[in-house]
Amino acid sequence: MLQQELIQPLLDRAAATGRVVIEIINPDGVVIASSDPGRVHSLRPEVQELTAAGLYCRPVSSSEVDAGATPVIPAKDENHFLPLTVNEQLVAWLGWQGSFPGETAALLQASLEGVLAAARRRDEQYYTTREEEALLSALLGREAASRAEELKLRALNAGYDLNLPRAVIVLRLEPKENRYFNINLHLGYDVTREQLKSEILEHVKGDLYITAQDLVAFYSEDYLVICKAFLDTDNLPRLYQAMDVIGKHLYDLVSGNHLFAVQVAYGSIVKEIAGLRRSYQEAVELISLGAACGKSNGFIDADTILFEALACALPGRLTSRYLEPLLQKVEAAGEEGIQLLETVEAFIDNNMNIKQTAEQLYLHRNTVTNRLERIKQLTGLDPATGFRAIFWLKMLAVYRRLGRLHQHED
Amino acid sequence: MAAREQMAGCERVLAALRGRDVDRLPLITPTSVATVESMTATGAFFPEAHTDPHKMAALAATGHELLGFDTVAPYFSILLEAAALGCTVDWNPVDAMPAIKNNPLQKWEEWRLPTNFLDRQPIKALLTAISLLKKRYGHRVAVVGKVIGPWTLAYHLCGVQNFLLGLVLEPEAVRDLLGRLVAVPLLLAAAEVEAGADVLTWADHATGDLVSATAYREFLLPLHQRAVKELPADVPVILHTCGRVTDRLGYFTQTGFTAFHFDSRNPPAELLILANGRLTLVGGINNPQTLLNGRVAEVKVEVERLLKAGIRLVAPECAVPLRTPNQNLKAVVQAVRDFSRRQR
Ligand SMILES: [Zn+2]
Repeated sequence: MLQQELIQPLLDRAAATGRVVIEIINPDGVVIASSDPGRVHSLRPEVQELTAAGLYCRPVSSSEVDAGATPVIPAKDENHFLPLTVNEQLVAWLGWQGSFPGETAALLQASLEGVLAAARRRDEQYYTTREEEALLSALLGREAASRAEELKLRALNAGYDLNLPRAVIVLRLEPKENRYFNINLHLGYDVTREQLKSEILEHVKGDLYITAQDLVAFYSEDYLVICKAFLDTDNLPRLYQAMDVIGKHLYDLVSGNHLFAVQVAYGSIVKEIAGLRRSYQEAVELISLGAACGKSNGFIDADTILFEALACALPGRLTSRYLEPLLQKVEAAGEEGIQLLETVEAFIDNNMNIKQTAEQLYLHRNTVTNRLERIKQLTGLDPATGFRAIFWLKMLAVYRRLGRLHQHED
Repeated sequence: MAAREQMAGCERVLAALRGRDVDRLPLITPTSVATVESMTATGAFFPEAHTDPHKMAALAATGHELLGFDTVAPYFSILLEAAALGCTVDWNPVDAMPAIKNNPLQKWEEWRLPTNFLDRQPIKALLTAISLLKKRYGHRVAVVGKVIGPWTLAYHLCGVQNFLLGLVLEPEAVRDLLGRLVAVPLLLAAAEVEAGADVLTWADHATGDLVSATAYREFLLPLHQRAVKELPADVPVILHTCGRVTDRLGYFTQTGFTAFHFDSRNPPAELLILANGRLTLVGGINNPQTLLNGRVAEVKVEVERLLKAGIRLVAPECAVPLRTPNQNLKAVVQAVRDFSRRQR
């Protein structure tokens, strides 16, 4: 608890001015710091008496505070003691032997209390951060649904109302220094990284759009998670519009750092604790889909990767029944099959316009027409017959691309 | 005991709010202390007392007559302006505060202050009640007027969630709307002072659970600063915001308001440091646990704790729950008086 490196110079300097020995004694009477290092760990029984007598609990009146007069507690012999308190709680005693001007003693007392209070605040902040991390981890865990009531109570104690609808925003912080340094040197990056992460956390918590109801904490190494709270879901489209703005804004807020590449995404707004895990998974899925589509940096909204997200969301009975057999046919045709599929996707993306497709692919119009004919023969799907065929061909192209990327990941 | 008092109640309240010396610590109620018990004692009941000036004044007077505070506060809810501006208000039965039933403002850019605002019934009733109380008490008791700030008015007119999303989606429209809404409390404040209010409470719920400190600084602080310049200069104004505010109290000190009415969720020692002598702190007693459900002894302990922490104007944190036992409110008065006597 004692910030030795801050406290020792204070004691030494004060001792030098008054030519006295100055000590800090814990409430149990043990010397824990002294201008005479030999005295540390020695015992001062009279301090135990002072503590037991509760003498530090003097009423603080405003006149006393105004005058700055702090009565020195009388003690036997030439020993003097002053209580050091933080938030009205005794944490230690300041003691000295010999003559020492009361004013200097009061000043020293005040600065020591300041140092102790700052240390206490740091501890509390550390504790709050840990509790929030633990709470978040419980909320996103597999058992959250079965522990909903317990978690609600725990969250309430920490100031969060889990009856409110929430959406999970995920900020993935991917260390990028490996891109510059391939050799595994210990360049102090770990320390800087941890420091920066806690700075980013504080930055996000203090942001314009983040309120005290939004639970913000790290979830695993590089996922900063926000459970964004709303009051009601009367106007969901407006809520999601706002989520888009907030997502982009958070990306801008955090992306300026030098150590991490940042991806931001959010999941659905949910009304139950059980839904938070799903909302989180949706956000993470968007981020990995974004990466699969070459977006390794930025805010990933569902619209930019709409088809990829849709292909991933198709149930097995559709992918296995339709997409897999189609993909096998295409791949069995080797390089040509892939080429045909890419051509038909470009054709669909160009609004079924052969001229535009040919320009985009640097092909002759006839080549495009030929390839469209061949893919029709290969898959049995003709874009000219309507949306159903167009849909399956587009899904097939996306499905193949995602599958190939997944293989690369493995 | 009363013989030893040298200051009139009103004088004492004004001096203490401005941080000056007083003969004893005053007992101030920035928000309502109306209770069902007091209604029964006077026959002035909710919901009529919200809009009938005579019942309003009679119920407000119980704050001094029955409970012993140095103030009377006739504005019990936070919805009089909203009702006057077209919100449908459910005035509710005797033991519930009124509630908004609809938020009428669709096109924010179209809102204008109605020219006859001060003549609309709920507002007129409040102004009459203030002047009745002033006539009755003169300098013996301070009459506390109250106005609802632009932020809270926007909640009422637009709907809370809808307005808060506006901060994200249409920040300029929000700024513009707030800039026009601030005319409401400014006009009403002047009228209340004219009618006899000695002190004003300015309730604006830019509270931490709903909005960030940064948003307060960006959207509301400039309006509060402007408002303070335009409010009647000789009347102390108490800002009221529920909830935790330690992250924004530094901004509150930049407004120029005289005092801040704080909620028990804020550690008093921390608030005192943050206020740094630039805002007088009022409030601090927990309403649901201590005043509504606590015993007299517990109330006294809490009052003592606040006084010892350096809070000079101890009071309920917000409008008291209507089923609060009067003996608990009297215990607040007694504990402050006892402490004050020991100090002399
Ligand atoms: Zn309140």
